[in-house]
Amino acid sequence: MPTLNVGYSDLCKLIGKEMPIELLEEKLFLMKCEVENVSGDEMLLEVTSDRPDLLCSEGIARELRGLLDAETGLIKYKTAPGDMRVNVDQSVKRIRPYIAGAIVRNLRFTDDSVRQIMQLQEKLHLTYCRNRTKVSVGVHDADKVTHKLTYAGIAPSKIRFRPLGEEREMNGSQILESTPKGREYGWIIKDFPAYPLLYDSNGNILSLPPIINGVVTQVTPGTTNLLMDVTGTDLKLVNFVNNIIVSTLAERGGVVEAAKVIYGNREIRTPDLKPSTASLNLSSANDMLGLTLKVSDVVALLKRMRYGVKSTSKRGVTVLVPPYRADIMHEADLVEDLAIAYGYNKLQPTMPFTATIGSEREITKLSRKIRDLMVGLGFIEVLNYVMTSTQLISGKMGTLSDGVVEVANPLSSDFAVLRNWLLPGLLSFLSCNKHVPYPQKIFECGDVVSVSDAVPTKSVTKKRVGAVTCDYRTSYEDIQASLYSLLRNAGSDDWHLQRIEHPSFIKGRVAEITISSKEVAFLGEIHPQLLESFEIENPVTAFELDLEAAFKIVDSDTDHVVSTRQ
Amino acid sequence: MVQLNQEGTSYAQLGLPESRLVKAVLSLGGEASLDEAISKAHLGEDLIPIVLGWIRRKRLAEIQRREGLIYIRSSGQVQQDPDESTLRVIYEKGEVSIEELPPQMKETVSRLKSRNLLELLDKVDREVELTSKGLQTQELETKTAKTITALTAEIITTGEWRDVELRQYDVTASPPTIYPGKKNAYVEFMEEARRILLTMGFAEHEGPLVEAEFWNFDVLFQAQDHPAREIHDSYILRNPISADLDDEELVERVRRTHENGWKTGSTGWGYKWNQKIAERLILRTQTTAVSMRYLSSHKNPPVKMFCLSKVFRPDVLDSKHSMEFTQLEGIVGDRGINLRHLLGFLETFASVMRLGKIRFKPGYFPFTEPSVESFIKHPTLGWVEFVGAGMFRPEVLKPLGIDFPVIAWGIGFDRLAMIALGVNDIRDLHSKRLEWLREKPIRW
Repeated sequence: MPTLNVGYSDLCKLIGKEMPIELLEEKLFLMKCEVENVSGDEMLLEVTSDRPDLLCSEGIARELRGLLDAETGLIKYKTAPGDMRVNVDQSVKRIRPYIAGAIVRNLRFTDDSVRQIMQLQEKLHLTYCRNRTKVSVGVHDADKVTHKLTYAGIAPSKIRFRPLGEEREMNGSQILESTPKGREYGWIIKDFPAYPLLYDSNGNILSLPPIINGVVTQVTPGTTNLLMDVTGTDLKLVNFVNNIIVSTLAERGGVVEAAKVIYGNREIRTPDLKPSTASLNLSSANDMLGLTLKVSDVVALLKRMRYGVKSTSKRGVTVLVPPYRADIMHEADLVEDLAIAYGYNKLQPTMPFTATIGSEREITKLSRKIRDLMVGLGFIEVLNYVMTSTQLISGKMGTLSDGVVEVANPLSSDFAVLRNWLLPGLLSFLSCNKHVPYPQKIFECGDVVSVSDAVPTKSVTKKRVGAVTCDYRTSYEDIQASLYSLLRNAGSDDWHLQRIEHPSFIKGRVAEITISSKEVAFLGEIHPQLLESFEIENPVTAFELDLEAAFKIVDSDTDHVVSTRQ
Repeated sequence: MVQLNQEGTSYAQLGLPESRLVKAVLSLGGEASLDEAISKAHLGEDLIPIVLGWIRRKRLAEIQRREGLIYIRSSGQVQQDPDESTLRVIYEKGEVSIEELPPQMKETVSRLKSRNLLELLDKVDREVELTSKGLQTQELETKTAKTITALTAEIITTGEWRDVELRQYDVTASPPTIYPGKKNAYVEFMEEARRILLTMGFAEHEGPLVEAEFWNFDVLFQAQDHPAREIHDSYILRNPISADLDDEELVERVRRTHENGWKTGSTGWGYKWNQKIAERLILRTQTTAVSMRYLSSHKNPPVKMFCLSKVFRPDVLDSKHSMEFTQLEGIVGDRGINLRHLLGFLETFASVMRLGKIRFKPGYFPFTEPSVESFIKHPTLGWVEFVGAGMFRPEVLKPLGIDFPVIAWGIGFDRLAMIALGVNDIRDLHSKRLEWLREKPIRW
């Protein structure tokens, strides 16, 4: 989740009243924000990732004023007609087709408000704008350029301006290659023959979205009028980001002037700060929340969440959704806001009436019995990771690594594949315990995975039990006795044992067990070659048994059994 | 008589520390720093002064000091250490009288005794003669009471036990340690949770660990450009790569829901959905994928399912992070199920698991709305995140053909286990230390 630095006194000022930090923490906790840390006036907040409008003090304060009943209902942000025009050239269509903008005047910046607007821009870029790929924002001093702008794709060699933070003019390729922002975000546009560029009627470059602004429109402490450019690949998102930024500046007293964006013969006025409408059905809201709210309750709750109400009926409410709410996709989103306004701490937990009968998977029941028997046979249960290395499951074991599920982006070669048998993990366990008193008898009951074309997801997971004994003296007969005892006591009696060869075991001291001519287990004495590579200094005997195959487990998958219903 | 104490027994099994160190030096090429050699020989640091002392005295290797470090140098073979031979002889016999030992070993016995590896069992021969009074008493007794140590089958069946006296033991002496076969504490903790869910009427279910993104993300209405789907947050595969999506109608409904909301009442995400991305195989990142599969085949209410199983996310294994961990997923679907029932189930589960006080806040998950996060009060850690939960979005349920509400939660089970088992390092849930597993009590 995104984190945010907020000044406590600035936040109180925006809310319009002083409040104790504990109360503030409690209120924030109940509205998808959490106070992570407080030091002096500085608060570090963690904010939910579905509310880009809460990524600044202004947005949080707007929300809190509602929940504190200090100011409820929809805020109507005014937009005056302005002189900003953006001509969008066809050439950006395949690169970064959309742009929105605005001019916000009469801003009196303080340290807090500057920090918040910069932080908002940065956090939006990181989260909602998907690291500038979908949307990016440029903030400019409106007084340094004309407001007749062109947004067009220009060949990198033809682009020439001094980017923000650089000492000299550069061309497009140089900016991508040798500025820090160019190296970070250049990949987004690098492969296009032309780069998107925003410039005024005098040829001043405002920005090379989504990389960097020009130095011409640099915002300084004296700046009072801002010009915004918001570009991207998704028109809806571009407009939401513009709305969020503009409404945030309006919260600080800015006067918003609209921009005309011209796509050929189509004109769009941005920002559009009119609310959108959505309908909320009273009974479905009550059904979801388990409450018995009346229409008047719902209206009051909606207003605490800063919604407006267009009209009401017995059945429900037509809601006015604020222009900065990018997260409202469905009625369910409004219902959650009702619950937040009602207070999650006031919702009474309750249990449903219908009683059902629990059931376990067959393999879970069998595993439990197998584990009981293994413990009775004197083995200690261990738990290894399913992720492991090819080196362990085949290299050291002398076996082939066919049919192993392999990860393409491992962070460590130790955890790069899924194990397809249990023994390697058990031997590795022994090698970590060479100097612990013997005998050492351990087992694991766990999943192994292997590639299989027979199922839609191309792999099968099997539950197996593996066991090893390590002692000064241990032989084939010891492990055979344990496995026979396990099979007999788990209710199997028609198994067959035959000699096999297996590269991990000593020749002539290894066998497999078949049931209904299907291989279900192998057992034997581990080859000294393996003991040497695992640095195990005492003999080891081992078995591994496939539970589903050995005991013919098939998972039944039926509907739920209901015992009573009211 | 002498016998080995615990330390002596362990040296008889593993070798004396000084010879283990010299062996380690030889395996490191004949010269090594003390630190390297100690770690290679698996010796504790507390043994360093003793080991160095004996290496000097027995002239087993050269000890050199260079630049503040100690180096050990040894050439050639390790001679059989007579001390070790003696230890083995005593170990195999259990109890030995010093007289029985060959003469060359007697000398080593005193050295081992001085190293505190032996226990002397004093057996003093005393000659005792009855006095005349004793003789008289004996004549008066009809039977002679013979004292014996071991009660045998013969003594019992012949009734001889009536005529003998069984020697008294020092019942306060320490017995040998037994390491029983034992279940793993973490697995047992999972069993406890499972038991509770069964009593609450839940059916257990499981799905594939290697899962199609379709079930792990798309059915859950997570947009295809959602950050959780990037390679930093899910394990993608080199083999196998791509799944078959066999339910074409479901695929179509999911596609439309993502693109424009289909019939769910939603706006949808408004992008072009790509089936190739949905077919990609990954290691399951959330057990919610299992809930989706369950719902797709259980369309009659009520449904109550749990899944206690593994999920995977790219992370480097350390004391707090792991690349694979366990989630406890639960869903309840029925007509009339609501948000307060969700809180009810979470509160009940926390109370039966004895997790203490619980509190709720609004949260965000792409597939639930309303969403809930809940915290439990830990006596020392304070409020600890316990579970993420919510009501599945209509965009999730409608394409699956579910027309009743479903509440769902996912608990990070390892965190819960660490608190319950008193473990501070997440790796200890998969401990490779046999001694720790042997000693760890199974109650918590």
